[in-house]
Amino acid sequence: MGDSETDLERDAQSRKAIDASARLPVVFMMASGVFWLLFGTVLAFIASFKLHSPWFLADQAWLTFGRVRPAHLNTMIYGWASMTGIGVLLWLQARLSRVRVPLRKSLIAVGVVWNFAVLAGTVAILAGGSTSVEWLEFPPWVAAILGALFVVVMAASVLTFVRRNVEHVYVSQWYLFGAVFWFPFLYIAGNLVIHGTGASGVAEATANWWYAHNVLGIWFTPIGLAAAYYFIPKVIGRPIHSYYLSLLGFWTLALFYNWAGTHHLIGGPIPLWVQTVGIVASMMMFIPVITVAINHHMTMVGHFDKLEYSPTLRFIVFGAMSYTLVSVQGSLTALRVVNETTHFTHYTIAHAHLGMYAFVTMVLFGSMYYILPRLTGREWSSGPLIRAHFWTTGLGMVLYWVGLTIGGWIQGQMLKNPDIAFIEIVQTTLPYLWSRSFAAALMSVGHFIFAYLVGRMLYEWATDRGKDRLPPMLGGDQ
Amino acid sequence: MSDSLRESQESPDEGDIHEMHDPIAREFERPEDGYQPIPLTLIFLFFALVGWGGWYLGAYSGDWRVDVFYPGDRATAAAEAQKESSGGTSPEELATLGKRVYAQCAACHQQNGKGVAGNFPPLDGTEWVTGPPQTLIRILLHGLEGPIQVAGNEYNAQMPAWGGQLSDRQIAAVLTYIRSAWSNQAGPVKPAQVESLRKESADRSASWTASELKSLESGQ
Ligand code: HEC
Repeated sequence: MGDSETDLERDAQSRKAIDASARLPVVFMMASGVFWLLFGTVLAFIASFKLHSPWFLADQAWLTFGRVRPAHLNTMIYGWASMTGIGVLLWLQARLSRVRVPLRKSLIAVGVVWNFAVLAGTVAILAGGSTSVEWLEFPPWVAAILGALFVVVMAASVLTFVRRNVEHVYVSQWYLFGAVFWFPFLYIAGNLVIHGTGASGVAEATANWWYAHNVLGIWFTPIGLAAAYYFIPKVIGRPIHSYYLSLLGFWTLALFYNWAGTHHLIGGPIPLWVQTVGIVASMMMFIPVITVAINHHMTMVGHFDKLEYSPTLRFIVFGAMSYTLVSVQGSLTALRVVNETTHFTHYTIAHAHLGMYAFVTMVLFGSMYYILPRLTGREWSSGPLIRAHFWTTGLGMVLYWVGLTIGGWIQGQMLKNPDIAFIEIVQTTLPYLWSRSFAAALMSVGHFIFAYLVGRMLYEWATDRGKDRLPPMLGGDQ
Repeated sequence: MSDSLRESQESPDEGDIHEMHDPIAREFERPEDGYQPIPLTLIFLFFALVGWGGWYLGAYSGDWRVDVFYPGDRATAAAEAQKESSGGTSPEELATLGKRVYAQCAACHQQNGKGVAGNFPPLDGTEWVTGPPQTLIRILLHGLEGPIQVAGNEYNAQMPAWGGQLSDRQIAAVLTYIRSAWSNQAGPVKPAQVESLRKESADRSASWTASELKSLESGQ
């Protein structure tokens, strides 16, 4: 490493060029993501509040629970998490391949059309045009548009990879490539099978849960893990603990995750062996999860003090730990003894949010804290607000999960007892539903703070201000 | 990468090269891989888990059947089959059971017994169904193939054998049912008749053909 000064210089220059190419598409995706985050947050709050106070906004058909709740889910999945996720994916792949982001104009067009597609789908759901298939509520024509857009993202990703300027393919690349190949296939196949004539009745339910579980499993999870694998060593400046563990974790995830979806149908009228395959695959998920947890933890060891000053690290480590927790919980919940209590209760809702929020969303926040300053050349404007964002969302999530997990378990125990009147069970869950709304309020505050921070950064960038601010949470690299 | 290098990357002294507050210049190198081995205990643990998975898959496979839905259902299904093989033999009881067994025929011959033109012959109002029970029993036990004339139309396909799956009582039941369903009004079939024909043709494995059956009939 003789000529280190000029090497470093060259490195920084190449990063600059890459980030310049990523700027427009990635910022556009992320800004859109934040918009949908706020939109979905409002819907979430309305839905949550209705559960304990059914009179709330009850006179308008389009504001009823049956419409608001799927509208919340779909804006969060296809708006917030997918758009932001694609932004993170494009940036990470360009950085890891050391090439500029390709197809920039097409990608911006993808972002624009994507927003309209999500908007159209959401309006359709609120207007009563939902397909009633969980996680695929958008009308088929909206799904067709999104499917086509996914293919463009896939093309950009393949081009980035093919043009790469590095020999060693780092673990994050595998996950990103996995996501980009698996998900468009899953999305198109899922839509065709379910909205087409391919599967009906019990087979449709099976296809539905194969799809819904895999959205998390082979789309958001690999993006989240790729980000964690990238940012943890990047921020603390230390190699990832073990390449061999990375290998084992990736391939066992690829092997097992896809089979796990039928654990959503345990006890249902589908052949026993189909349920059993889902249960076994869920338990096998212990392998990739423990592997990744060890790999991340051993990399972090001795560097936990950096959580203090790096917002990226804070959110990412929170997310990575949640990944372990949600996966362990998921594996155990797939066991018949647990499932017979938890199925059809609020426990499942808590679990889903532990995955989509505590893991995926927190990792996406962390990634944005790193990426956006590099793209805009501006520092975040306020340390205290970043801290407030972290604590409101973090504590809100913990409260959400604890409340609904306990409430859901009690609900499940009561449901198993035929002597207890249904209304009694509903009343018992009320305090837990209130805790859910309270948690939702905390998280909403966090989201608005975050939106303010992002909005201010983009405003300063657009108006050429705020260039010489120092990093808000002092102490080094963020 | 040496530690001093890391220092210098982080150090504000670099300000003369980059603007020091430029976040891009403040970064560490791209992440790299370390090469620590996988702990042996972990590997053992994972093998144990996979072993458990194999056992569980076998124990809760429900024999890979499509009609077993929950653990213990296998026993229920077996008990059900047992009940269907032994039990009352009055024409009414047989017809009730037969209607249930007929679900397995309906895929081809249709619920209304009219079949599918050109592919599956009807069972409603055909000379085969209302004719001698022995012929019907033989068809069910070993199946039927080759050209056959049914209700004035010619068919030439394969009718599967049921002797392996259905008990004597179930065969008698489904035949009793189809002989009295729709417009058919032929008499019941007794499990004992099925039993004796099953014994008689125990060493037969090929399907019957229509002409074989006709010549057996005229021989009787
Ligand atoms: C896989 C489709 C299929 C199934 C299931 C099936 N059959 Fe058939 N069956 C046929 C075909 C095809 C023929 C005509 C065979 C030939 O062309 O030689 C036939 C012929 C027959 C005949 C003689 C011709 C007639 O129509 O009168 C009878 C009686 C009969 N089947 C009864 C049954 C009964 C009872 C069951 C249920 C236990 C059953 N079949 C299930 C396909 C089927």
